[in-house]
Amino acid sequence: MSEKLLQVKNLEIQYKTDLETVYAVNGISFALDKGETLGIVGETGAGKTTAALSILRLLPEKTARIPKGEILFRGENLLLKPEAEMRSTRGEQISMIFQDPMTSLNPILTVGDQIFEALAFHNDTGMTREQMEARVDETLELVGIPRSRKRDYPHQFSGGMKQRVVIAIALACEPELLIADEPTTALDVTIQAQVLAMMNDLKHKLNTAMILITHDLGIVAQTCDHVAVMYAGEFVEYGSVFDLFTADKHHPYTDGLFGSIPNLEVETDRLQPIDGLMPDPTDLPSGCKFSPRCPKCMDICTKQKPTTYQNGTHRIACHLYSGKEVEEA
Amino acid sequence: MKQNFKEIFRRMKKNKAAMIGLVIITLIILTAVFADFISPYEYGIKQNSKERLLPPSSTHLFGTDGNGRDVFTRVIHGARTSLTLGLVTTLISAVGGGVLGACAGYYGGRLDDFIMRVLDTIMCIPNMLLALSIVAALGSGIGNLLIAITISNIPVFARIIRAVVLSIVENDYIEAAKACGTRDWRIIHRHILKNAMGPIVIQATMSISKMILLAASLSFLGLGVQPPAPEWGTMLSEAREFMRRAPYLMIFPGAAIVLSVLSLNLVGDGLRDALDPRLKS
Amino acid sequence: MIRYVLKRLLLMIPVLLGVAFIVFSVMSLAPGDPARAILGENATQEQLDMLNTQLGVDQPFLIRFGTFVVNVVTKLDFGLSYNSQRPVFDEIFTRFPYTLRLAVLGVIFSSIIGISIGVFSAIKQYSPFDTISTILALFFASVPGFWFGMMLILLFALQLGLLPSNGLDTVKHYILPTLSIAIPYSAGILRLTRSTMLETVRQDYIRTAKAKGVTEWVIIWKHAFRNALLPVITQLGNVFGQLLGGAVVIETVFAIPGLGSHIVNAIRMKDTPVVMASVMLLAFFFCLVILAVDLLYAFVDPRIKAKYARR
Repeated sequence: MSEKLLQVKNLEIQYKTDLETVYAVNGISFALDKGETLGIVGETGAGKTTAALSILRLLPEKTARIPKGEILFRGENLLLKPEAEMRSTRGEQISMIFQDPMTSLNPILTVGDQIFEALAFHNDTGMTREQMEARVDETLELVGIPRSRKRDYPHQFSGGMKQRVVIAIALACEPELLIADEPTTALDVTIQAQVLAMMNDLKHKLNTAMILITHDLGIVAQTCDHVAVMYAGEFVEYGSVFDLFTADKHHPYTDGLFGSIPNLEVETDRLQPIDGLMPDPTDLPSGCKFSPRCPKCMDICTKQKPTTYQNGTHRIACHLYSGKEVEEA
Repeated sequence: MKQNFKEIFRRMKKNKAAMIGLVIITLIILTAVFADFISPYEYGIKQNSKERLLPPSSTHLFGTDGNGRDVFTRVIHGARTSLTLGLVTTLISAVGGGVLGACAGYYGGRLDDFIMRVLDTIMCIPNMLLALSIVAALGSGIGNLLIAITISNIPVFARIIRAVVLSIVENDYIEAAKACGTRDWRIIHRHILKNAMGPIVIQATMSISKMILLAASLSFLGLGVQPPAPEWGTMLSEAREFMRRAPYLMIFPGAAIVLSVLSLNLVGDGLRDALDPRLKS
Repeated sequence: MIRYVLKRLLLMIPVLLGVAFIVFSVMSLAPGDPARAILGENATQEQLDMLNTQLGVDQPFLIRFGTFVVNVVTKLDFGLSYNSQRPVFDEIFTRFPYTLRLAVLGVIFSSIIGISIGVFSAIKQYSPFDTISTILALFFASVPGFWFGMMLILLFALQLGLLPSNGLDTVKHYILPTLSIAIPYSAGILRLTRSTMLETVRQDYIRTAKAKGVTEWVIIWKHAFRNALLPVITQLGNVFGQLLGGAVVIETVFAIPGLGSHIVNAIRMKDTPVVMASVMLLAFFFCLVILAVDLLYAFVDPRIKAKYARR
């Protein structure tokens, strides 16, 4: 088996303050090949952003702790890298696009400057200033912004255009891995489609692997190769897009997610939202973390952690399917 | 609203600095109120030429001044003057500024334009200078000092309250109240003042300390509280004469100013953090 | 941009007129008889009446104000000092530079001290350095400048004999007055800088910069500091105003022959024209500083710059 681009093993992340400990990520594992896209879906507060930030080691230093787990990028554990090396990885090999383009750009620097900076800090090939400026122009045009707008400031751009700039910054050094944290949530629906299409396009052009964090299953279906459904810091279900959208066995939470979006083929009077709220991450339920909200909750669910049912690439962590691993594997 | 105060106090209790400030200022207030019982000598304006410029000792804790008066007694009575000045001026300017600001914000239009134009112009004159010119026109003395620093403090309150009122007037429930035919003053009283309480309390706490400083400065210049009345700024002005011979005369009144201003600032900071946890760093 | 500057300069005129009007109204509340103040106790009633008519004291208030403004604008004539009988303008003009120098030095040093320590405090949040500077800032924000000045005199002039305590003759003379103005005011600037800096490093664009792999140093100075500076700049204008007021008291403490100590003397002598002219001059100056700060702000912040460039 060839070496994976990114391998995350048993990652756990906690936020510790004087008052409480927040269990944000509780043992997730996944792997990603070159050019592949993994979608991570889940509600707000499921730990998606925390997991993403940990790959770039951008978690708040004062509170975040990683007691367990490994993040292997091309075989190297990022968690053990010295800060200086990590800095040269950021932006060059791994980039990130953040949720809100409105606030993600520095208001007092021109967009050209902000793209240029990404290049200047990773100038391993010794490009001259002119060459880098030319790259800035290229990158801008790559994301569909005329190069004449290089000297403009962020406030002169619309939301969708700002997100293009953010993407341009992330792609300036042609990273191998791009982490996109809800890149379209803050945008209008029409702009969302444009930006997504562009990202898809660029991903293929540059053969970039991508982790796409979203709570929009539609986006997942359009762009992802694999999908992880995250709940309370755990992957409750993991599989290919095909598994997730067509398999007949699902985690009840995944069913819930699908139940809460409209379906054109099935006639329903109303949508089926998932009852209740996300559990308090400082005080997670024992056993299965979804059990308090689960419509199919059994006795065992509140007591014991579920085992993982596996069928090919499809993994579900639920007691409903326990004991069936062998027969179907 | 009552619950609100409880909640704010609960949050403030966690803030050590604010609690220290609260304890100190409470002690200072108690000292001011019971000054007559605490001070070892009678009201400190009686002169005693035999005991001039005695250094601090067990009989005269802070020593005696150039007129043989017990400095400890005068510092304690000075607390009364300074705190009263701070409180009264803040109260009047809060009410005055409040009315102006509320009217400007609530009625808007020309009245708003006029009031704000005037207040903005007043704010172009630094506080100290405005107070100085008022004292110059009216003459020095505690009453005129009070008027001078009150007027210089009104625009700040007016602006804050106007901003609060503007943010509230936009709300639908004010529209609803208006539509029901509720009287203007009742809307202002019931809806607006209650919401404005938080910012006003913070500003008032900060303002008391500013007023104490301003009053002390003016008195120091000989334009505020007149000797022989005990006031910290006046005492410092008198102490300058004996800087070489009796430096302790300068230390205690100054320390009293610092302590009261510091404790009020601590409480003000604490209140601000408690009222708006977002701002806490 | 030039049009914006011109426009702002034109808008200054009503503000200055307003300031003059307020000061003039306040001062006209002063009781007493100007002619009596000028001519002294021995003047006859006739002489008094004549001078009062000449001064226009019996004219209606608005006419008097109008005459005053016209005289000031056309002839820089603020009237005669009751005390010295000399033109007020000549008197205050020689003193103004002292006050100005003191205030400018105060602003420069308080911003250097306040901003630099504020930034380092914020970068090293919760470190001993931060704790100590925060406590010191709290303390100095509560210290009256004039008392601090007296303490400095006590220590450096009287006890150690290192520095002079009176006047402004040599560079050495400037040290103590400047410190006693700059340090208390730097406390406020420090607190503001620290909190805006802390606020700024939490912004999303700082995270974007980190994700780009930009070094800590560049993030602090290029990205965070420049943004955090904007609110501080706005505040500097106000600090300057307070500082002009503070300078009045500091000048008295250090016996500096500036405008401030002159005002205080004039108030004691009931020399109304001098007080009025001095206060007005300082207030005018403050207005100009506020304008300068606004323009500077517009220059530093591209958002505001762009807004006016389009006009």
